[in-house]
Amino acid sequence: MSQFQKSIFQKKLQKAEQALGFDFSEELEDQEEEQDNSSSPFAKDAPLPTAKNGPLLSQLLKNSQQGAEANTTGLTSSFKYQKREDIKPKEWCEFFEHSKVLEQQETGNKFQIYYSLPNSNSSPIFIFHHGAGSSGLTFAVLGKQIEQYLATESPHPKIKPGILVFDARNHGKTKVAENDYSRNSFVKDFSFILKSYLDELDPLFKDVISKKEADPQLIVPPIMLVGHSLGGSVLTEALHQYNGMKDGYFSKLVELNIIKGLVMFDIVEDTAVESLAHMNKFLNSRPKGFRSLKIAIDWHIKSNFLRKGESPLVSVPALLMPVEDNDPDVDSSLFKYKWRSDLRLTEPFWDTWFTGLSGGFVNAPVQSKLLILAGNDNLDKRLMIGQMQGKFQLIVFLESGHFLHEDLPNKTAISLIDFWKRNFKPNEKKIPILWGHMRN
Amino acid sequence: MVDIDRTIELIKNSKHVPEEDVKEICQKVQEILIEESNVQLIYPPIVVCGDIHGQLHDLLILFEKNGQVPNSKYLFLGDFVDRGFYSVETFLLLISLKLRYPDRIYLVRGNHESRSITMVYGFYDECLRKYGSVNVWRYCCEVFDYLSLGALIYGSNSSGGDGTGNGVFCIHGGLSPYIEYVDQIKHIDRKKEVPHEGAMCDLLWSDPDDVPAWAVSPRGAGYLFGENEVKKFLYSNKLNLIARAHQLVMEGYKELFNGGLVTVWSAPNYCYRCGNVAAVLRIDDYLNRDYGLFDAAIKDVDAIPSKNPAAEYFL
Repeated sequence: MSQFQKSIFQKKLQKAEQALGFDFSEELEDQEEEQDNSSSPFAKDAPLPTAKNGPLLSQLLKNSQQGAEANTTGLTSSFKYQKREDIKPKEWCEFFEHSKVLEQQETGNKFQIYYSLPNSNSSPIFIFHHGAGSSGLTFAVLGKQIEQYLATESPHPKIKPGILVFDARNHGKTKVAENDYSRNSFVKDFSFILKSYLDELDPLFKDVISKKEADPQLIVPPIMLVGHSLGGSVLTEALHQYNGMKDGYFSKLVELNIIKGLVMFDIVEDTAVESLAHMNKFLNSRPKGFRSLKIAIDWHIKSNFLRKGESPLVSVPALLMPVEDNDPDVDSSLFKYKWRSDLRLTEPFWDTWFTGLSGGFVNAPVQSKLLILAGNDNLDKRLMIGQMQGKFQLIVFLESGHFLHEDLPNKTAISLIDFWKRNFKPNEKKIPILWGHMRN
Repeated sequence: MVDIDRTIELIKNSKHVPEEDVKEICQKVQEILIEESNVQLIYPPIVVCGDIHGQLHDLLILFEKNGQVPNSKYLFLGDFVDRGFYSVETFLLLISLKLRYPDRIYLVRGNHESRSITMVYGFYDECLRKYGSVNVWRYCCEVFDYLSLGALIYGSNSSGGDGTGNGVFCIHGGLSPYIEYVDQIKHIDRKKEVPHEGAMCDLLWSDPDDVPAWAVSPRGAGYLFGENEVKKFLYSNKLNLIARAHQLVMEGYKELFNGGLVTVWSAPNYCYRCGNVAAVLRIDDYLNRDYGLFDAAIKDVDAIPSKNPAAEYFL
């Protein structure tokens, strides 16, 4: 379970490093002074940090990595800004194979999606839904990490995952005519996007429903839905709304067990509802625009939204658009970039966003569920009961901020891959039943 | 030399126990625990208790209702620490009683008696907060490694529940596909951090469920096992009951598989918010079962400080 994370990650990180000659360690900004202690973190004399806020896990990770003589040849994932000049915005194409705009015929809504296709029926499919105010590219680095890990782990035959991210309504480059931000609208959009992707873009899923109905034994890549924050709530709600409906593509995907897993990143119903009260304060406090993308990236890091690393270089530019000369809201002489999403327009819908989320997650009609939280294990009552009854897996990233997939893309990637392997990978690990074979 | 009776009184009154005393108690109790087998043989009558999770005041009620040590004999099935706000005192009280009355209280290890888990679920932070350093956490973790993995309660031969067996197998989590016979547990080298897989992990992590055969556990560790596995295990080991904890039961206890297995949960209103009652399982000389239910000591939930302030923003 989650709770084993630390030592599992230590091992896996080290293994991956050795295999690749890479350094996958994720550094904290305030942790750049080197630790010269290389003993095991649990050895009797190893000094442990004495403050709660200290980046304990990373410190321990780092200690053990030094013990293993981890090298620092540097790669995308051990990204460290050496100088300010390193803050160079990145494009989607470094992370995904395809970019496409899906147009919904009846509404004219245009959805921006980015995706990479799986290479075989044994590949896992990860479908991501971002949270409010974010964009699909928040998962860019994570997607790439998943791909890299799988390529390293299974070179022959190579397993390449399917990854789909998209910009939700009036986020990023997705344009929708109406200002309806109710959870139901997000659910409908998601169902449309998922169907379009599976039906039209991914050859492995061509006519999957009729094929699977004809042959229930047919092996189809397992689909895992992964939502961050509001995205987690949308996905959970989608599973419930479409579950048990007589017709419809999405309900068939659930019924035929093609959608197998549900993963949420840092979302707990009670905490989310409480924090909505602070949303306005937050919206008032953030700048209206930025003079450059570099400054915008810097602002996100300095205000502790995102950890310094590769992810903000691609995720932050996706949140912004150039300011026109006669922009009514933002003074173009002051700012070159402004926010793409106007979050204030979403306020009337906040009360719909998280209702019933925790119970919905615990009872979601999928085979396996995973919740990854950042910072602490502050579960609400329903999640607490569900967890202590063993209904889902919980992982806590103590040392991460709210955007845990951006702060710790490596750990997040490992967690998702483990989740897939343990639950859905065909022939991965037969349960080693020794009963009847050993007698005293 | 620490005055153990005085320490027990201190803890019961929620008073601070000096770090030096904690160190000494932890070291001394290890000397007792190291002598114990991986699976301890215990004779009834005994009170079997499930998860406590740092709910000291509820533990004190449990003792009040079922008799103080040494008047009553106890078996605790692990998960003494984490989540509740008095994990240090809870664990100290249990090991102090063990030190004082080694054959009147038995402790087996739960999945929360682990370094990696206590760092996430509260015990580590609590030690740091109450003692200003992690020394106490470290002393306690060393004790965790010495805790035995399970217990066998043997009845007198004249009567044995449903007549097929004559013993109760007690464990925190459940069965393992690696362990067909209780004797096999004796071969495990238990003095280590709880591993991520294998027999020792399964015994502390697995859950019973309505499954036709072994299945992957949604928890991410251990397995699910069903009625078939329980029946086989009871038959092969000449037992009539598996008593385990690990899963929150709103009613305090729950018998499954025709009474072949019971889950006992002893943390009422778990984590001050779950609204459940708690239970203990009392086993008499003839292995007859009797359940004692009890409620939370602290009724006013608002009196419990919230562990973490709400997030400043949510997007």
